[in-house]
Amino acid sequence: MDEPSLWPEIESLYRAKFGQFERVARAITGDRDSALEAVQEGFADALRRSDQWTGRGPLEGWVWRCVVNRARKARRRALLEPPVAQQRNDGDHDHSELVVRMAALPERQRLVVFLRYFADLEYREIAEALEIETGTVSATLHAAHDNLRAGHQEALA
Amino acid sequence: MSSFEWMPDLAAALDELVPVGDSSRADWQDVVARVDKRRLLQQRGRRRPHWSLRLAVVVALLFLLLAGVATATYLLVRSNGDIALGGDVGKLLVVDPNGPGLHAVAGCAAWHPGEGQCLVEQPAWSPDGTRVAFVRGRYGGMPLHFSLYVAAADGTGVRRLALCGECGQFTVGQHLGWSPDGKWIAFSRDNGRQESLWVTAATGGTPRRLTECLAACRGDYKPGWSPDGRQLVFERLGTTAKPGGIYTIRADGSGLRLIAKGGQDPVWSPDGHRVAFDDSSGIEVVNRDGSHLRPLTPGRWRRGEIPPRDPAWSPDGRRLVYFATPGPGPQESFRAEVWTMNGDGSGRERLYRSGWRLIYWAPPIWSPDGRMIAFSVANDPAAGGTFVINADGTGLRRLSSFAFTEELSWQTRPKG
Repeated sequence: MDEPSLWPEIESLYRAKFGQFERVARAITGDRDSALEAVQEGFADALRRSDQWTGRGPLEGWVWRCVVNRARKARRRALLEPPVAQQRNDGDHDHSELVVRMAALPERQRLVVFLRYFADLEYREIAEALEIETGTVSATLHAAHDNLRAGHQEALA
Repeated sequence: MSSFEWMPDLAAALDELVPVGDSSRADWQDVVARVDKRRLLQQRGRRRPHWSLRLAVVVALLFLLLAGVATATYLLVRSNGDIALGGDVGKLLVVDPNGPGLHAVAGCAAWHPGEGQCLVEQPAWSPDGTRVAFVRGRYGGMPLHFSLYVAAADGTGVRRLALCGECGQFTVGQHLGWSPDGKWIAFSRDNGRQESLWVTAATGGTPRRLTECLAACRGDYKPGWSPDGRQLVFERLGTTAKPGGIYTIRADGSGLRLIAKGGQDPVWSPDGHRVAFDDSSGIEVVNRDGSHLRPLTPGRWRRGEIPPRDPAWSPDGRRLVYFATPGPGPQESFRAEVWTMNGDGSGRERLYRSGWRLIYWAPPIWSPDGRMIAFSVANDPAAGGTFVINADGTGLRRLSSFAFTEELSWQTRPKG
């Protein structure tokens, strides 16, 4: 099989950041098996569609989009509740107020936080991954920040 | 720089939320294998199929295209028009299934003292729906002197085509048959003793004899043209010595052939291959050459009961509608029932049932588009009349309370 030129770059990304991809996927799907499946299929999507990558945005962000989309599909397919909400209610842990506030964030805000924190992506890479504008990433992060800070300060008080 | 860095607890919270994963599960070869598998499937899908398969696909697509065009044309051409009612009334009555009630499109001339009651009967729309044929005359002693007429669909331009005497009026049902091209009308005409079949041009002219009902024949009735216009089917009333039956004859009067003994009310299937009719066994069907006679409504009928009768093919040839008159009930009364079934007798379904005391009826007929059925029954004057019902048995509606109807004809709405 002739491998397109982007394959080595995508493979390097996989080997370097698998743990981050898996962690973000797990944050979305809520379980390890679905997360692993999402990462594998997401990267397979990236390879299959590599000739469609226009090069206008960062490649890493585009690969993240493939993985995040797979993870979201997996979650929809499994009809799972947001995983953080499950964890909040599982009763085995006395979660901090911050975790509870995270669970209450809207999906896009949670995703932006995960990609920013777990994957350490730049704004434009997050924008590419979530197919939104860079300015929207910034606004979303600020909104998440405000929500989390308010809850955090209430807890401290 | 992240705006979360000032929150020292956030990292711990996120780690608690989604603990750091295990990178040992990374498997790049699995990713590549997933791509290879999909590619393989795609390449298989792209492989050029064998020429015969491609030809079959092209033929199938062509067939579907033609079928679609034919269906659209069929529905366009065969849209439903008005229903004409024949019966004991001096007017040609017409009702729009979707409109207001009855209206008369042709009547009798002014009555003169000493004249009998005027009747307009056996309305039959031309195949294109632009004209209507009927018989008209006055009772007043025997023999009767009724005539065959044709008029435009709106009842104007009434033209007398032929004297037909009794014109089959003593046998319930339709005795006028339009040729498929709308050029000819076949009808029953009596010679003072028996009725034979005659044919006249729909525009007028000298009628010509089609059948010769002589000794051991009481009459030829209910002519129906084959869809290809080459033959007619009709019922012959026989005698004890020589029973009648269902006959076919070429349009030029040659080739008289008995295809079923003892039947009546024959109707061609739309494809022209079969003829359905009724007899003492109920509804039967026979090939046009008289072969493969088979009963469609087998059963045993008690004394006084009337087997299912008056079959009519749906326009697509798949279903038959027919009339059943179970009884006798209280005081020797009968019900009226309308049934449908597949062309092989399966899938019987009762669409309608009246109360007891059936007096008059008009056999059920299909709408030109095959979606509805019209029929008339008269038992309870308050509930009788002319009805339409969807072919699936839903949507029963009474179009008219006029209860003295013995023939119905559903117009194909003319193009334009």
